Amino acid sequence: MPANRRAAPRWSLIVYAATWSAALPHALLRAQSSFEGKTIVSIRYEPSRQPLAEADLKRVAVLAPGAPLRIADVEEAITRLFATGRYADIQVDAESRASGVAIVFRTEAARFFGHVQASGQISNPPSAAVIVNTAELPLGAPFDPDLLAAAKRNIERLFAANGLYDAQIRLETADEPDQQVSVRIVVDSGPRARYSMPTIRGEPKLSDATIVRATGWRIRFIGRWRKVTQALTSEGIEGISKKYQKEDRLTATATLTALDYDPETVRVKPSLDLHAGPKVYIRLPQARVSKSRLKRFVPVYQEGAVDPDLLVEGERNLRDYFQSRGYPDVNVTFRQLPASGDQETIEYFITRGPRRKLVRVFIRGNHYFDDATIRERMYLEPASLFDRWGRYSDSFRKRDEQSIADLYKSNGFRDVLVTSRVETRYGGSDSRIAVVFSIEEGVQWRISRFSATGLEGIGAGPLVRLLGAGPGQPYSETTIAEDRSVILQALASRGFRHATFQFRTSPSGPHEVALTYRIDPGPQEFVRDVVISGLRTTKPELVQKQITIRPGDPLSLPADREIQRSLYNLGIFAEINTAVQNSEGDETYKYVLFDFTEAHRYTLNLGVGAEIAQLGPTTTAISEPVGATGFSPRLSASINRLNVGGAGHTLALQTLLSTLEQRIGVSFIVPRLFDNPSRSATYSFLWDTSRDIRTFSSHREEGSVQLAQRFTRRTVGLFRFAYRRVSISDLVIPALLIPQFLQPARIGIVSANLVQDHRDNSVDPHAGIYNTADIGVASTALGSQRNFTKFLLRNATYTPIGKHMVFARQTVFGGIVPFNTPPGTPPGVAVPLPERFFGGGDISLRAFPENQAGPRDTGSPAAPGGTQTEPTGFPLGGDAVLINNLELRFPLIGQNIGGVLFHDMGNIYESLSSISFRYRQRDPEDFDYMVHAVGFGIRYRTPVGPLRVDLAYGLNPPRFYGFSGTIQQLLACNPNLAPSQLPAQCQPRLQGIGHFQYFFSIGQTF
Amino acid sequence: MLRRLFLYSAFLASARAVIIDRTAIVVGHTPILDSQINREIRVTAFLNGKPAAINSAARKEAASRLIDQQLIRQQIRAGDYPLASRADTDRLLGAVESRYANPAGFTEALRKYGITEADLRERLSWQLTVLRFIDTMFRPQVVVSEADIEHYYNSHRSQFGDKPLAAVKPAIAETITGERVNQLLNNWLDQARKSARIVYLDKSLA
Repeated sequence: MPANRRAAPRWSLIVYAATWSAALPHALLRAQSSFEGKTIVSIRYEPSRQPLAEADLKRVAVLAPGAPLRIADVEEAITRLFATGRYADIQVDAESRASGVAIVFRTEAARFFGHVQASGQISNPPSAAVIVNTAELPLGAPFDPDLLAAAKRNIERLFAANGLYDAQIRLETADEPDQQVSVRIVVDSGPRARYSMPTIRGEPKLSDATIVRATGWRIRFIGRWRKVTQALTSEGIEGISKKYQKEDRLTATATLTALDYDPETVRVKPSLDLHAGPKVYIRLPQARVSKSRLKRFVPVYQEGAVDPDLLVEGERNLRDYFQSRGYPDVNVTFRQLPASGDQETIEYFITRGPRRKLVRVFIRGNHYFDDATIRERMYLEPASLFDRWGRYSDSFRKRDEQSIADLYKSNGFRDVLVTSRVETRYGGSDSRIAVVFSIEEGVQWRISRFSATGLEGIGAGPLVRLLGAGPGQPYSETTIAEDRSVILQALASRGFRHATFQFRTSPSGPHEVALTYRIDPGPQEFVRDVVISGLRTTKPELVQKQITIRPGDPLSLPADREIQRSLYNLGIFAEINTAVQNSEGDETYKYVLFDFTEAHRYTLNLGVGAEIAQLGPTTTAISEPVGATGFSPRLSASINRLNVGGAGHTLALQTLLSTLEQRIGVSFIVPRLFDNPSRSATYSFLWDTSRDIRTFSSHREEGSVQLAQRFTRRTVGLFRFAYRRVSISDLVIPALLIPQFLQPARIGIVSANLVQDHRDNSVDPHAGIYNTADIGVASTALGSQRNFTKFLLRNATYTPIGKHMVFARQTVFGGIVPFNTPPGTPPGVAVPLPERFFGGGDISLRAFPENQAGPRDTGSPAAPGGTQTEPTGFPLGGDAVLINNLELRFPLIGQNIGGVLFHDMGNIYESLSSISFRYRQRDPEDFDYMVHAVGFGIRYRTPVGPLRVDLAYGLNPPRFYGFSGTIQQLLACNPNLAPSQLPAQCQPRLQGIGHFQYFFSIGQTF
Repeated sequence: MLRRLFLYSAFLASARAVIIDRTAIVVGHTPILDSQINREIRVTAFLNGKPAAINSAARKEAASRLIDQQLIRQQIRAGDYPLASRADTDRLLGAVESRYANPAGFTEALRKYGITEADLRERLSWQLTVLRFIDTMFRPQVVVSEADIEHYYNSHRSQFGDKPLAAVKPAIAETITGERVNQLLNNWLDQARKSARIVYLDKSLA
């Protein structure tokens, strides 16, 4: 390249730079002076498309064409533009014109953080989500390169803590529309280090091997060191602390001082500083308290320090405990013995005094609130069936005084005085006490005059009607605090995010105040537009339909959160962040951001379980129609594909394998059918074989379409069409061996189900009502080979009794009515066996084992042409069901163990017309009578629902004739012979359902 | 070729348009402009009675003062600290004016430094506000003990000559207080700078 061509660009750059350097202060001052006072002929922005909304640009404008230029105004203009937060740089140029000066604003827009994602070779832990959170690049916040550097440092520290010392981390940014910057954290995790033998310093008083075992950093028996993770490291330190605790070294400290990495061996050497401290024994020479309780009461265990304050707190807790156990006069003191060698002893001396029952709690002096309202807030409770000694302690008595006082103060009784005293020897007995709460209510302060200023003109006047304060209302700080919350929330939902609230009171008479609320709504903000980021496979229209805010709407964070909730309900996003871009900037129109992290599209669930129940016999030996206790393992697996086609649909494959049932099901779920969030559709196909009814194995192949419609929050309707092929096999009852029974039947059935759930808790209800109504019609018009109508109604009520008990009741009534039965079809086969009602078991009628209620085989053929045999007694199901369950649920031990007394009655009946309330079974072939059972159950509360054990006693279980032997032996018996002529083996054997039944399960019965 | 044409046209364009102000530094959402830095140099020079030297070192110092002022301003707004009253500002302005023989001399001096009375008044009001802020925020944190005073007296004997300790105690207490308040203010400013977002658009001021 010729030298002059190479020199030319350098020269022009120098001149260009020199030109700009002329804009040094002197030149600036001269320029300002020369243009000061000249008429502004035009104002232009470069670039012409400014980052501010047009309305905001006009709002912050200071200079105006036609006005004289003031340099002070130029400063103000730049300052106001910057205050909007939308600019990274602003320069103002002036160009001379014949009639004045033309002003040019040269601007550079600010940028804001948008979608942040982690990708590359990520070795979990940490997961991609944790990496993104660690970066701390807040959505919508101003973009700052320093934050990127800090993010990288944070991530490097995170990786090091997880043993990934050789990780390569790179942050890539990309400009997006609307001033957003997306950040991609590209990671190559590299190899993960393993632990090595830690360096141990201090006074551990444990062997190295014991310490290593306590950390869990080395796999037992194998001896290989585990791979480093942050969680394992902290669990290891905690493990050492727990080891010391077990050895009563309560003041031990375990600190990780360093993690030294050796890149050659890819090993990490932890450095531990351990100080065992002495063994601390806490003894109670005069009383017995379990170790677990002692740990709860004496905070020395949790705090890891022997501190006088902690010992005093332990003293207080122990006193409260014994008082609550019926020892109100208990005296607790402690003594710290001098340390002796490696041992320190603390003794708590507990003098319990006589045991006394809290028999009454009196409340005196209350007029404004009734006793029930006050007692609801009290801890103290007199003795009852569930608490023999009552619930009393000094600290709780004081707490109850405070609770009652707070109740009055929040209702305007500012001068209330609540005291209490204990009456010993109540009723003349040494073992009885009573507590008397005396309330001096004082005068209720009221609001004589009330006004709220600042809400006029913003359409929030009706808000005043929602406030607790008003003329004549009680005056209290609680009311003011609640009103403040109501007002600020209402204003926030109308775009007034910066509203402030103040109040002023002035006396206006005896026990009266004039109250004024001063509200400054601040500027109202509006939605400029909605910006969506992070979608990869999801169709944007699916998301846009859920976003109900539009440009120009008031900016409302509650509305944003509601939209966020409805988007989560799509079930296809792992995380949804919503933010306001440039939240602190002074602009009226703001972008609302929704940033999405899509969930993993595939989920796999595996399950292992077992059933312990009275399982049926094999088909060769039919001596036990009721079944004997057996064990049935089960495996389940399901694969879900979320967000099919980016439209939020789900495809699910479910399988179940056990000795009693095998099932494969495929479902396609369409939520928000026709854009209606209350409506969904499910298309399913099912192949199922089950033998949970001892009489036969049922096979079912079914396709169905179901539409679900939520009418209200508590009412859901399900509308279903199913077409299935049902057949039975392994039939143990020869009398049923007739062609019509054994042939598969095709059933086309349309059904509707209405569910109304007004319970307070669906897993463990304490109040409310639950109704379901299911009705279905199978008809040849729907391709069915059988015509019948089937309905099942259920009503359950839950009534709280006092504070602790619940009375629960459930009634189930159902029936199957065949119609248009083809001529020649016996009534017994009009409804296929698997479609009949079967009942009995832990969730229906506890007088019976599973599916054992109702009519049984008596040996008569079900239809002409069938085989007459000796009776087997196997259940046949029925065409009607009527069951009623009553339960009294109550606490038994503490909060987690409850008891249940129950009464079940009902049965499965041959038909609707067979339903009877008769108590006695007429003969062993009569099953249409009402069976009763009473019993007792234990419930243990767990996070997934109560574990349930029920023991039932049937008052009038059925007797029936059965057979002892195999089917072949049964068929060899001639039923036409008189019983006295039958060989012994063929004699019908009188059997029965046992009086006692037991059940184990999860969840309430109903 | 095209690149050179672009550069020339930009140069030619810049030759017609003149910059009348621009952003030098941004503190949070608040800009510090070139014109503000210049004015800061001039007003300071005027108050100190020295020539206004507008060079890069002076600009850097002025910019640093303006950053500190902005951080203090933010704190005053957030904490609702009281501002200087007009009466106090008038009094201080009067004291500055009295340095000159007559009002005409005062006006001429302002003109020579390229500042207006409004600029001066604003600066004086700000100074009073800052003093009030420092008094409210930092002075209560300073406790000067008898031992401190004695130690100062003993280590600065030459300064006090024959004056007994009792005579100079109030002055020493005030000096120590001033030093400690200054130290607290500097510590606070250091911390505020670390946590604030300060962007130098004009790199020569960093």
